[in-house]
Parts: sequence; structure tokens; C-alpha cells
Amino acid sequence: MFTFQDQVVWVTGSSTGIGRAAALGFAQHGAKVIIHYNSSAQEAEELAGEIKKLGREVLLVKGDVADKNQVKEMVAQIEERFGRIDILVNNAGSLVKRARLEELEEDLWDRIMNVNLKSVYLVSQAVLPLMKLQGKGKIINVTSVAARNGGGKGSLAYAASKGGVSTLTRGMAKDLVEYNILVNAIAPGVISTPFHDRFSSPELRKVMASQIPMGREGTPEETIGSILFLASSYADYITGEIVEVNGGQLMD
Amino acid sequence: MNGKLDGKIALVTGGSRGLGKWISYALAQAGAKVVVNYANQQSFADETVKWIASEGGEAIAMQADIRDEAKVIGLIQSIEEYYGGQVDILVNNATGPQPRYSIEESNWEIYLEQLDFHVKAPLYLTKAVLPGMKKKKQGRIINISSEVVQLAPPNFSNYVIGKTAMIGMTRSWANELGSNGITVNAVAPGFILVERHEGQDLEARIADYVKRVPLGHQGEPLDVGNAVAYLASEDAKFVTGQCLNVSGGVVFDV
Repeated sequence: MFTFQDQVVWVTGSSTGIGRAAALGFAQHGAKVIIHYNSSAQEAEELAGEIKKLGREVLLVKGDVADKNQVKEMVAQIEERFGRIDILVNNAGSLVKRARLEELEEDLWDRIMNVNLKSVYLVSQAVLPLMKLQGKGKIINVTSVAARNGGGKGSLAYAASKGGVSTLTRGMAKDLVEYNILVNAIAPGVISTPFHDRFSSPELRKVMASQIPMGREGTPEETIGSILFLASSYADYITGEIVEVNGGQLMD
Repeated sequence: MNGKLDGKIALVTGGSRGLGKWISYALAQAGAKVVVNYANQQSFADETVKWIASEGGEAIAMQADIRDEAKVIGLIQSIEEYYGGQVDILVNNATGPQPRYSIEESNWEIYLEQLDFHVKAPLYLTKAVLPGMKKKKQGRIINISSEVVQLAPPNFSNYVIGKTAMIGMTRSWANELGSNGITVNAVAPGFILVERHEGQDLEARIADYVKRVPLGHQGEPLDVGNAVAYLASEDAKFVTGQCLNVSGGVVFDV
């Protein structure tokens, strides 16, 4: 249904989970893909290999998406190689660590805000000159069901950061529409990824799944159809929209 | 476009004209066999089916007043006989006239006319396709709502109430049917010009409306068709109970 033949797509945080599935999905639909990672070098290399096997061009960039200089450096590498960025998927993010309010140290708060929220601002701002020059662009942010339900146990700071991502999505949609840059988001619910392997116990996951009308966690592959849709010409009249991919856990 | 809906049977109510025509087209382009349901005007339905076929799609026109439960049951039987299979995708799109009334001018009959299309018909249709969907453990129900749910323009409460009911219906049915592998979603189009607007003097209304659209122009019917095709496909198989705005950013869900 969708084609991204020869379009240049940058997916941040694409070595694992939803980002990885999205990078693969775009490559399968014809795109040239920029894989970004910060620490998971081996996984990123493996993904690059898979994408090359599909016959698509791929570029690996490494850096901290919450550090302005590193973001600039990555955009410069992309510009040198491809000269354009048609689609940006702001996917990089992390729960970092579960902590209730009384345990939440300032440093942890800052880390969570930086990786989830500041990163979206910095990366979007850095790709803006290129997209303006092209006269078009699509930005898809990955927010979370936590943005609206306050998050699971000990994830209030993460939820707040994702609330920021959702609001930023709408603000950016209004701000960038005059440049023909459309900004939308997907809000995954509980998705089976290393994210939950790391931060959620099997007992907690069982409870979470029981609260989903579809009765199960989603898979990373089940989230990317919505990213591809928003990035495609199918969604050229949609901006400021957040598509919830949550098996019915929370309805808008 | 390639066949993400190959082998699927889709039913689009009110599929001969307006948004329904373009929803039928988009589903057929994605590979579905499309039943173009219509109420009165066979010539329009035939034209739509011919057009879809000329674009390489497969469609058939079937008449039924979907506000009548017996007719709905007959329609679903006809589809099953004709295609030898059950409906995979139901698009509740049909609407009637959309007159504007103040509260003082409104009465229960005027409200009911809208509820007939937006609540009664979808209920009968959904009941009739459910046995097939439950047996297959999969199905897609897509309700065409509207941006008016959020904009709620004055002197239009009859229509706003009908379209708002579809949102509650979407959520409630999504909860009830999720464990059967059936997703239920809504699409909320903006003010998009179709046949029903022909001959109306809309210049001032459009100029006023477009000022509120971040994308700066009205949408096209195919924008809605494409959104429905996405929700009907495997790409959206973990999306349920949601409403997708296709309105150029006029309304943002929070």
C-alpha cells in the first residue's frame, strides 16, 4: 500500500524494539535508512546487515540524541551522505529506571526528560533546515499510552516526558505546517520489546496484558504499520494526530 | 498499490457516492472485493462499480435500506452467497440528508433520522457480520464519524449527536470484541467536498473553514479512503477503539 522508494528515513533509537522494526519496515518499502544508536553497536550493525540484504542503502550514526553537538554532528553525516531527510522518526527513548516520586532524584528526572523529550526538540530542530530546503518533510514522534494514563508503577517521570512529546507533536504540527512539514505521532501501549524485558516484571506484564481488550501485548511489528501510514502519502491530510496502537487499552 | 487486502470481502454502506465511493475505491485498490451498498440510486452505484473495475479493482453493487433489519440480514446473505465467504471489513459510512436545525426547530423525529443512520444501521450491520468475523477470529469494523464531534457547530445538534454516538459505539464495541480479534475504529473526516455539496453556495463557508485548517486547504475524499484502507489492513492490527482524524489538523485529540 505504501512506497518510500528512494526516500531518506532517519529512525532514532533504531537498534532494538520499535525503532528497529520501523527501520526494517521502511527498508522493506523501498527507503534508504539511517540507523541511529547510542550504545547498542552490535545490534545496530546486525540491523544494517539485514537492510543491506534487502538491497537498500543504509547509514549508521552514533550519538546522544539529548546532546546538541552530537545531534548536529549526526545530521551533518546524513547530509553529507544523502543530502536530504524526507522522514524523521523520533523514536529514541527510555524509561531509564522505575522510581516513585519520593525516590525520584533530580538527576534521574533530568535523564528521563532529556532522553525522551529534549531529544525530540533537538533532533527535530536540527533536521529543520534540510526539510525547509526540500519544501516538505514528515516527522513522526513515538509517544506512549503513558502520556495520557500517567504510566505504570514508578514511571511517572517517563509518563510526564511522553506527555511532553504528545504536546510537542501538536505544537510542532502547527509551527511547521507553513513549511509543508507534517508532524504526527504514534502512542504505543504495552509492546513486547527489550524495554519491558528490562523494566517490567513478568507478573506486572501479566497484569498489564489482562487490562488490554485484545488480551495481549502488541509486537514491535504491529506498531510500524501506523508509522508507515503516517509517513506515507496516504496521510498527506493528517497533521497533529496521535495514533494509539494499544490493543484498545486506552481509547481516544 | 499492492494487495494488502487481497482475498478480503469489504462492505461499504452508502458506497455509491461521496466519501463512500472513494472508500470503496481505496479498498478495491488494496485488493479487497468490495460490496458497494446503496439505497436508491442504482445508476450511481453501477457507475461506481464500473469505475472501480476500470481501475483494476473488484466490486459489486447491492441495494438495501440498511435502516431495516430484515433488509440488512438479506444483504449479508446475498454477499455470502455471491462471494462464497463472509464479510471481513465493514465500513459504516451511509448517511442521509444532513439538515441544520436550531434547538427550537428540532424535535425527536429530527434527531431519530440521524440516529437511524449513525446508530441503528451500524448496529444491525455489525450484528449481521459478527458470526462470520467471530468464526474467523478476525474482522474490521470502521465507523465514519466526523470532525463535528469536536467542533460541535451550532444549529446542527441532530447530526453532531449522531456522529458522537458513533464514537461511544466504537469504543464500547472495541472493548467487547477485542478478544475475538476484531478491531473497531472510527475515522473523523473534515469538511470535504462531495456530490452532496453540488449546487450549494458554500463559498463563504469554505473560506471561513479553510482559515481554521492548519494545512490550509480542504481534504480530498481519497484522503478518507486511504485512512480506511490502512485501518482495514494488517498494518493496523493492534489499533482498536480509536478515532483517526483526517481533517488537515483542524482538531487534535488529547
